[in-house]
Amino acid sequence: MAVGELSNYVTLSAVLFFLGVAGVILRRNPLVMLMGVELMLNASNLALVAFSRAWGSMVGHIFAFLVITVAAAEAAIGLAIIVVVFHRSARVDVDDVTILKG
Amino acid sequence: MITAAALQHAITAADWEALRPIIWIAGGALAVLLFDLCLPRGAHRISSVLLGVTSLVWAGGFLVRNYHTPYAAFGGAFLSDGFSVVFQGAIVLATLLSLLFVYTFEERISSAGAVALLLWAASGAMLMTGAGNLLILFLGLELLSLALYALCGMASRRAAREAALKYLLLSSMASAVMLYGMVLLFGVTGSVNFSAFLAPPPGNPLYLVALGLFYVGVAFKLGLVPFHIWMPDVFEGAPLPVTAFMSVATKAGMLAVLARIIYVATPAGLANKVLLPIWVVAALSMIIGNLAALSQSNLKRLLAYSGIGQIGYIVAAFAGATALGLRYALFYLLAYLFMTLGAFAVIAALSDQADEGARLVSYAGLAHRRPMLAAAMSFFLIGLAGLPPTVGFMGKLLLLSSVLNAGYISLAVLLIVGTAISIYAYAKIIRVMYAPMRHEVVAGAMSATWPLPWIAIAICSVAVLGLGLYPLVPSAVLPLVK
Amino acid sequence: MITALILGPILGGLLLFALPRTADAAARACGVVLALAALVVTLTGSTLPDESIAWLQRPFIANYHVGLGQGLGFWLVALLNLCTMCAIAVIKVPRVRDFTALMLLLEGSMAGVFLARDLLVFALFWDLMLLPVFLVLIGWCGHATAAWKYLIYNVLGGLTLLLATAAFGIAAGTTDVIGHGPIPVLTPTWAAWIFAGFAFAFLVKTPVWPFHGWMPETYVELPAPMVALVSGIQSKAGLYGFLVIAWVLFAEQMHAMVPVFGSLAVIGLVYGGCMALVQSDIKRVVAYSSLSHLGLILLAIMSGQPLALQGAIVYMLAHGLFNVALFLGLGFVEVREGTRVLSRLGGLGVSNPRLAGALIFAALAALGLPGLGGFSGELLILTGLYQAGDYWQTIVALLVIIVAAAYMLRLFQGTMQGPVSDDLPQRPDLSAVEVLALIPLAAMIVLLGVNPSVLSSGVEPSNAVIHALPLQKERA
Repeated sequence: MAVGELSNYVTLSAVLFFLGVAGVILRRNPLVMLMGVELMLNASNLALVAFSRAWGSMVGHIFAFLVITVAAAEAAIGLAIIVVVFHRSARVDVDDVTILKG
Repeated sequence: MITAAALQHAITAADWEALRPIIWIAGGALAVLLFDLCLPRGAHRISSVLLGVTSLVWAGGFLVRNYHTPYAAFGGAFLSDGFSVVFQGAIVLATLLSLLFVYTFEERISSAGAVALLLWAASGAMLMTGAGNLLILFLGLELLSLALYALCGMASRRAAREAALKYLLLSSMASAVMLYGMVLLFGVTGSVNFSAFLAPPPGNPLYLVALGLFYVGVAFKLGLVPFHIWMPDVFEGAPLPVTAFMSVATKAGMLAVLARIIYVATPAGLANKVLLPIWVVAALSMIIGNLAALSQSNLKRLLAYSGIGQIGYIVAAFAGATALGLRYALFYLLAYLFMTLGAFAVIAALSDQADEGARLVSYAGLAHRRPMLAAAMSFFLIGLAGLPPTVGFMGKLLLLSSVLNAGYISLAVLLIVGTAISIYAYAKIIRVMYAPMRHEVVAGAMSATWPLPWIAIAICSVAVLGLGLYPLVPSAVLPLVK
Repeated sequence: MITALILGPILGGLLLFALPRTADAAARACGVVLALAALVVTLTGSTLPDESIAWLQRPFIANYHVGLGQGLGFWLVALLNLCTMCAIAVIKVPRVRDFTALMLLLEGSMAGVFLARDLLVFALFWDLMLLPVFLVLIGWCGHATAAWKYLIYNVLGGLTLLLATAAFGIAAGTTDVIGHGPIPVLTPTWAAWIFAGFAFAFLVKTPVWPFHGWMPETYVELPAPMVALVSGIQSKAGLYGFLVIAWVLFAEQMHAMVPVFGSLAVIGLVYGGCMALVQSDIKRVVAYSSLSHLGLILLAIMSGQPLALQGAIVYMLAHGLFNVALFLGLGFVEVREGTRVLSRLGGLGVSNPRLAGALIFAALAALGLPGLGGFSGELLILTGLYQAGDYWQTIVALLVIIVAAAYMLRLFQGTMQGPVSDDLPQRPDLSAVEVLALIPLAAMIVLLGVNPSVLSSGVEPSNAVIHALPLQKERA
């Protein structure tokens, strides 16, 4: 893989990563924040696959599998927690989560 | 690097030996869940705890065996050396003592589930300590974190559920940041093994960016300033055994990772540039963590903030990457383990179904109502403060010696300043306990609580006094380089 | 056996908690017996060899090394045990059992400080020493301000001492250096900073102006028996440190700091004397007088002149004795009258002749009446200072001694003489136990007064004096 191609992929993954960060920081809906985290993890996946191809090794691909699995598990647990916290709330908004003062 | 040649590395019994403690604990968690299906009602709680404790003790036995046989298992993926064995031992001890408080969970919470999750979290942390490459590190980290997210929410108190949500969102973001750093490291060096980071391609800015992201993730999980904001809230909301576990085992796991990177994977030429932020962060934690503890009225929050300071001391001991520093940092980790878990044991002894016994007001006049408990709490607080004859005093002395030996005089002075600030916070609790009451208080009869926290208090007190007078500093603990 | 001097009181204090909560007399009796046993062991143990157990190998060699010897440490431990015995006998506070236990813990840890022959052991007991006092301050006193001040000042001193000890160990390779062995050579920068750490700790503990902020409130809030120990003996720990550690291991730095510490001592001397003259609380009078006397002792120590050093040692012991007597006496007054305010007290001498006798004796010893211990100490110090050429310091000290007479007599007059206050109850005079407790102190004060060389007769002078002697030649 040519260097130019690699840097394209890496740039794309960086953009995705920052989009994810922005999602977590700027949005108030916990579901969307979780989506932001997923976006960050997938940005890593993209970078992993690209680097793996560039270096010609299998490690990146295997790492990516691992990350996908972990992200799925995280989503499951995260959704369960969100359900439990906002069980009886009218709206789903992290600004309502205020018992523990920061 | 998993090449064809590496795949031909035959997997022998020795590889499994290295992993045996972890497998035993993870298997123990499964056994707890399975047994829970076939047990009669009423025996659930005690049997889960017993099974958990058994598997931990057994795993501890394997650990002792592994201490003397360092081995790089699975082609360098898991390094079972003195370094990781001591950290794993600390995690096993912390889990064991935390299991003794499981009875403080609410009645309707399935204790088998809690015990199993704690054991899995422990195995994840242990995996982290022995990780030889980034894959295993990430695996262990996420196993630990996911189990903890679930554990934090295992109470019907609204605070617990909010703690779980906060922890989930912030910690998963930190994991993702750390992962991205790891990915960039892989991209820059072409390998996921730690040893490959010793020779990064020169002049590549991505390497520093990658390390920066990685360290940000590490600092977050460790609770170092300025990434510590989540810690007091989560500690306050989570159930007591989970807080106890988090305050020791997660930090132990993460410290192992940090130490391994500092000692094994930092190229000599870049050491100063790369490591300076870590010392700065350690210094900040020592001061700010203890300052913030001064105004807390909830004991869990206070211990959370003070824990930030204590971890700052340990990270400062890594300064200069000296062998002495590593040994004493490990010793202080053990000291911190016993003192903190002892304090949590006292809180557990005071807790009942209505209140977790963490509010400072419930300690007023404790010395008159329950003198032994107050004495135990004072002993642990004195230890955390670094006063003799506890292991805290000996540990601080050793930390100071190693920091001075490495030449970081300012860090040593800041350590003293942080300790001085923290003493006020601990003394405040002692004062609340011992202040004379307006009216005569009759020493209450011991309410029928489980004897479990007393076992923990006894173990911790003996350790705090004994290790303080005769420090057993682990010796063969430099990490393996594969 | 020497370790028994440390562990005996500590374990005894802990075991005291096995007694029932209300067993006042039994607790006092046990305490007195333990202190007496410690005193006997001390007096007969001057020829015992040092005890040393290997402790740390890395990062530096530290041994659990304790020794009694026949020098300053011996006399201070004897003083400690004697005063503890006398103080415990007259405890009259709520929760006697707990208080006695804490007194014994204090006795054991202070013994550890004076018996330590290794800097790490010294630092350990130095820090341990503050715990019983802090616990008494929070458990037996209404306001917590005294407790916090005590804690903050002394903890800072203790932590600085710990840092300095660690640095010393790293720089010199071993901390087993008190009173024996070759003096390690340190690089000048290290030595300067380590010395600064030690000096700060000693200055805070004594206390010396301007680090005395914790002292007045602590002395006032502590119940009489404990404050007797703190002012009588714990204050000597800092001076002991200067003599045995600073002068021996850091002679150069001490020489350099003589003007600074000497000035601080003089300021404390004058300030303490003047403040004592205007206090309205009887314990505060003695607290500030203590500051003044300790300033005088520090001045003598700083001069390095052998006669002054001898005087310092004599005066340290004398000060310990008469301060304990004074505070115990004032404690009797406080317990009987329920107040410490001078303007409200008065005329006690009429109905309490024994109390008046005790207090006048202690006051006369404090102001330096010839024939009593205070005088011989002061005489030696002033002569030594004069011989060393510190003329204006001698004059200032003389003037302050005159002021001491003034405030001591004012104290006595205010409590014992004058019109009897109507609104205060008349209580019984000193009981037999209380008189018995004061007799050994009085006897020792007289002994020191008529024969101060008993401290060195037939016995080698203290290590500090031996080592300090050659220094005087350099100074001149």
